Amino acid sequence: MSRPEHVAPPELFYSRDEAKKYATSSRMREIQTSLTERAIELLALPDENSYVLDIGCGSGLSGECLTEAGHVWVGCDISKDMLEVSKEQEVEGDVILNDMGQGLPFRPGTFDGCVSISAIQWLCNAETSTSNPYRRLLTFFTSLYRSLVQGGRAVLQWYPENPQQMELVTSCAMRCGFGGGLLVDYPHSTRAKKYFLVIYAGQRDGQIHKAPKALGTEDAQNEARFENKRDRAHKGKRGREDISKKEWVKNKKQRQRAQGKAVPEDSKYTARRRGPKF
Amino acid sequence: MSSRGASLLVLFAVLCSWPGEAGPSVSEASSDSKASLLRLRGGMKLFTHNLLASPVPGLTKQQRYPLALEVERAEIRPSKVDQDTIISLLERLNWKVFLDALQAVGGEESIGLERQFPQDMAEVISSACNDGDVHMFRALHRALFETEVMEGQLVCPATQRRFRIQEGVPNFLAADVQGTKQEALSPRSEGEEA
Repeated sequence: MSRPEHVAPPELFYSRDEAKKYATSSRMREIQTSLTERAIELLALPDENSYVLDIGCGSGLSGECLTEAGHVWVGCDISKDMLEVSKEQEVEGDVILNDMGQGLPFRPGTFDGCVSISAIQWLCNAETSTSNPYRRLLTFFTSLYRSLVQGGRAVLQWYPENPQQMELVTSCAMRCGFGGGLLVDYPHSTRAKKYFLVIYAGQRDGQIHKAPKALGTEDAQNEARFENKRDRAHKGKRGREDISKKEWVKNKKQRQRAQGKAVPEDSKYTARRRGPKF
Repeated sequence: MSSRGASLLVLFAVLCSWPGEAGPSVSEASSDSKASLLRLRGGMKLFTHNLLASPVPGLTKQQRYPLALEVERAEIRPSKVDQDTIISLLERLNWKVFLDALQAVGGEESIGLERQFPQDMAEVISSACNDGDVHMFRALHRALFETEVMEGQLVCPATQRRFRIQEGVPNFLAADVQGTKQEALSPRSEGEEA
């Protein structure tokens, strides 16, 4: 898996050419749009016309989704070229050029919510010899907490590189007073797996934060199954349970559904023997 | 006929952004003429300015806000009036800062409004929310969401650092902060000596 944050700092990596890809590539559009839609769903804003911050808005793809959902938004990004593209796309929201690791320039209590698509992993790298990722993360989360209204929610989608990075970012958010945690969609799949940091800035009166449910975990068999001697006696030669062909196909389809793949629904024809051939 | 109208409009826009002219210029970006398509790119809305604070580290809440606005060029980009949005966003507005920003653009007349906004925000809320005054909504929409600053500067109230608005994008990047830091520091060091 390629990691652009290892190549160059964001303001250089997202150059004119790279920015153009975001405007033209349909695959990138599709991924960004579906991620943003999921993030908006997780944001669970109480009503339309909310004021939302988009961190790392880039070419404004995520902003378009926010506009469609009926929200007013402001975006910030570090790459001038990406913002250039967003201006050419005539997005609705305003954009500002800003480095999130140096804090967000907003009044306290400005935003009802915040989304960020594939941006905060850039904070975990030391781009210059003097920058300290830990301090940058703390500055970022402190200013984010300040910018949100009481009880406001932030959904930050990102690609953590390793468990240490996950631990670092989550603990920084908690240190700054945020509640909530990491949500993983399709945890059993390598490709469809997506990480969302869903965090809350405090609590309004009477507001209860319900932890959102991750996708693709419905029938996950996380626990070891209870097994007793009598069950073991019914097993076949290799110690596995004897199951019919139909059951095997159904199980396989279920597994693939849990991985987020497109699988046809079960019907009475599922795993049925085909008729004799001439 | 229409092409002639378009060329007249472009001429008007060029005249408005003539460098010799003093003070901020406000021009209307229209969507119906092809020649002005390039000018459709959005800028910084006055509503956004109302919520921006200085990013300079180590300042208190009071020292960060408000950023003084200096306008070189502003544009009006017509959009649809949405009363619900205005009502829901009105409560987080700092009215005094908004009036100051409007003066920086050139006042109510320069953006095509006949009436002046009242000095007290309670009057605005009562006429907009309680009486459902359509004219008030239209005026608020024009000033808050249609008036966009394209070129200008934002000045930090405590440190006097300047942040440029270029092609409608305020630039708060660190390099520029440091670049203006030395300029801002030099008069202060003179003051300390005296």
